[in-house]
Amino acid sequence: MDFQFTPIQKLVQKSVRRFSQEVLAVVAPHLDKEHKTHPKEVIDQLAAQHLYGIQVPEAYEGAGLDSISYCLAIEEISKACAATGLMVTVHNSVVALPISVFGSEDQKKKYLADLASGRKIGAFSITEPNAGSDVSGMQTVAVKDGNEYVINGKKCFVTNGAIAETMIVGATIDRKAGNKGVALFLVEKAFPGVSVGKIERKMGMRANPVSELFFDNVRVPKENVLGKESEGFRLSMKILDMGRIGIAAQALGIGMAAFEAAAKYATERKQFNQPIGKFQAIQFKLAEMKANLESARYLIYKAADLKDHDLPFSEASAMAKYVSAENAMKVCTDAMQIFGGYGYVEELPVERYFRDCKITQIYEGTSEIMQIIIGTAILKEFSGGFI
Amino acid sequence: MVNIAVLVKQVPASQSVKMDKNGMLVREGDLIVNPDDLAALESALRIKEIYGGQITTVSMGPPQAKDALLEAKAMGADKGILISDPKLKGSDTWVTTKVLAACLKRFGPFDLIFAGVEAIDGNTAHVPYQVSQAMKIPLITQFHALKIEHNRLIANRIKGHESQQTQTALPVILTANKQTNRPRYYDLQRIKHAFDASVETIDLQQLGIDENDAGVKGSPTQVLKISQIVRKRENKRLEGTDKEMGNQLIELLTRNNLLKT
Repeated sequence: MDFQFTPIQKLVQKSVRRFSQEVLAVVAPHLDKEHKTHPKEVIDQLAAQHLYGIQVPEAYEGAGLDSISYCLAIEEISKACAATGLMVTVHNSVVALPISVFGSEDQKKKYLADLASGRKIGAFSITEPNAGSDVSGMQTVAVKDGNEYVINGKKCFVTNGAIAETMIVGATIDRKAGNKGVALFLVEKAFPGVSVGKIERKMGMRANPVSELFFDNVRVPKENVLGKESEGFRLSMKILDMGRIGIAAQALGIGMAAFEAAAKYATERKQFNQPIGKFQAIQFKLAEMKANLESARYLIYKAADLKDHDLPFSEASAMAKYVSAENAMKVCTDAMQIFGGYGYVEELPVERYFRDCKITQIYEGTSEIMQIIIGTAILKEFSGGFI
Repeated sequence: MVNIAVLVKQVPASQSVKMDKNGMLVREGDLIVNPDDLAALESALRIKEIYGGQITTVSMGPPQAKDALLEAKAMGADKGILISDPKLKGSDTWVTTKVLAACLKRFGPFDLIFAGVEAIDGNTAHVPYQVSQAMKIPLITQFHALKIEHNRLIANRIKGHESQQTQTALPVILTANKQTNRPRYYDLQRIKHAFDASVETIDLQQLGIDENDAGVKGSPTQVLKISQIVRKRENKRLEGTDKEMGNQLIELLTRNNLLKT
């Protein structure tokens, strides 16, 4: 067992940290306050560093790095600006990487290089108003017509929705077949009939234009089905397994930002003639925060390492996401407590960390769904596979 | 095609600079590429993007200084040469200059040599000037724009509030710092390949330098002592009515030459 980073991983961390602190941390408060999407310069700078195709092979203009490097990059970006972390992690792990892993040669040629290079932004669209945790409730339909599918329906809460040009969209092709009746399609924003609906105003992650998407008789060539027609649900679960490692790293980044701010503040803020860090009440909080973040960190690396070794990582990724999101939210709450009133006002970033962090317990599978995945895996293991 | 060399030094991250009781730099804690050297490399990369060519980074330091050269490769340098020899321990800027100049001659000829203005550990700013002297080539400082025409370098320099245009034959050594440019962020694709091949490491013997001319023995200057400058601020409390306190304040400021009447 090796707990050391490789030289490549160390340099990825160092380089992305410098960019994130010098560029992203500066724009983050403004984007947040004004509910503003990323300026083009930021998107271009991310692209120039190949941050849109971290794990995509170099043949398709990606950086070809491993999952640990990916986690380090997402943590650093999210620590500076969680909403940028969201744009990057969704684009990478539930759009670019799935096309890289599950896509046909033609699909890769057509879509992957544009995504990995950042020329186009991606979105992954499963959620509907009546189908959240329960994917089988999906009402968007795709009907076969010759060599095409015709998609009709409405999606909501689509991360990157308003800026994405390439999206993976889930639709039911055979309602009677249940989970096996769902297919994933590669849909271009430019296809006639695709439109962007309302852009949500949110508690956090405000720089990300999360939106509704409408599909009105959208004709998609049958070559654009990702994997096999009957595999949509199975692939979605695999894609989300990959995505959750990224969301876990994002939660860790937000938690680290809150922790570091609180630790520094505890040494500076004086009450009763001493820095508040000298009070055990504060020290205990800081100790718990750090320990909680470290435990999340190693669950994330474990899941990423299993993935890099082509070993099953579904349960590990669920545990990483569950623990990271829960712990990071707790850390943000404690950080605000340490800051007192100053943590609650907009002048300091702690309240932003708090608002941004909350969604990590909800999206890409709620904490409760993570517990179900872990619980199911436990039952399977201890029942000899009979439950 | 321009053959470019960039002088690079690995230094402690600024928060962790420590000296031992003999005034020698303690190389521990986080090590980084000297910030001015990143600006030098950025200038070199911009020249290469326009005119083509090859960038070789050169560093003198302990074996771990190879990390600085590998990082330079991640930023865009083509190759790195590390001069590392235990006999160099304790060398001053004079020895450093001799060693770097010998290395530049051996692996050159270079058309352009870029260097940072100074390193954040020793802060002498000696080396680029001395290399210019040792190699008998011109030195250009404070440039903000460069071009090459008919084998001559044309440099626009900051001169107070003016821009001065100078030109010189090649080779030339140029110094950069954080006013010169903003070093680029590393491309992950380049980071991935920065470690594909290590840097070339050479010792004193390979450069034909006698060990008596190196290290503490070969160094004419010696750092005698490093001490911290402590600035103390004194708090003074004024009492009385507003008018009295106002008068006391004026008197205090006048007495300390902070207020001219």
